[in-house]
Amino acid sequence: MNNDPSTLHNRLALFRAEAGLSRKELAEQVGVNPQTIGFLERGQYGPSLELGLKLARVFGVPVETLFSLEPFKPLAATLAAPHIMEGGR
Amino acid sequence: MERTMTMAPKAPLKLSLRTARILSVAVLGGIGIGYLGGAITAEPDGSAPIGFVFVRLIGLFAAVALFIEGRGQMSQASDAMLDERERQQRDRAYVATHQIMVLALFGFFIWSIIAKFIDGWMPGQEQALDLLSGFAISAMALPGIILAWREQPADAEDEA
Repeated sequence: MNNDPSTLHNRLALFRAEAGLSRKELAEQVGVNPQTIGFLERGQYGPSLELGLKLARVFGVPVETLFSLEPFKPLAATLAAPHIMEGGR
Repeated sequence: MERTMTMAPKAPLKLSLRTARILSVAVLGGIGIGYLGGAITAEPDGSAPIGFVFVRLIGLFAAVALFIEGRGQMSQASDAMLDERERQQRDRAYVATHQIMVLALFGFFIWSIIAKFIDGWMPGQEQALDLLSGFAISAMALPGIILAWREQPADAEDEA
């Protein structure tokens, strides 16, 4: 992956919170320093392909669910979208 | 190639980011003023004025403290002891150190040419040795100093 954080977006904090993991626990699972998880979540560091794949494996999702070159839509908008469509029918 | 787990370097001294940054200023100020100022204002016998020797000592002690401190140890750590972000930071610190040192050497080289034409200051043998010492100490301390200034303060969750 690209180490330039400005071009890479991620939903790591969201997935980690949902999994109930601390930064330290997640860091241990992927073999990095807990501070590195903080850097990733704040968008200050773009991970290597290897680390990106390891993180995706921890959450059991494809890597593109966790990382994207385009900004992710807000979660509320993503969740509301099907309801809006249903309501519109 | 798979790296399973990193082993953080064990530093004999752990300082806060603020203290490390204050020390780094003491190193650069102490070494810069102490060695360069001492060389320029040297006595006819080649010895530096006592005030500059004292400033050098402050810089030297601060450099030693930074060297054995966590950030200095990180700059010396092997790849296996760092994760990929830390390796990237360390490598960037060395690149920046190299650029600063080459620039300083090149600057002195340019001055040595100009000084011939304008009859400017040039170090004698004693002063040249002093300047070389200051240069070597700065090169040793700079990677840790750069790491200290590039480090982001940890947030509450990092500390947890």
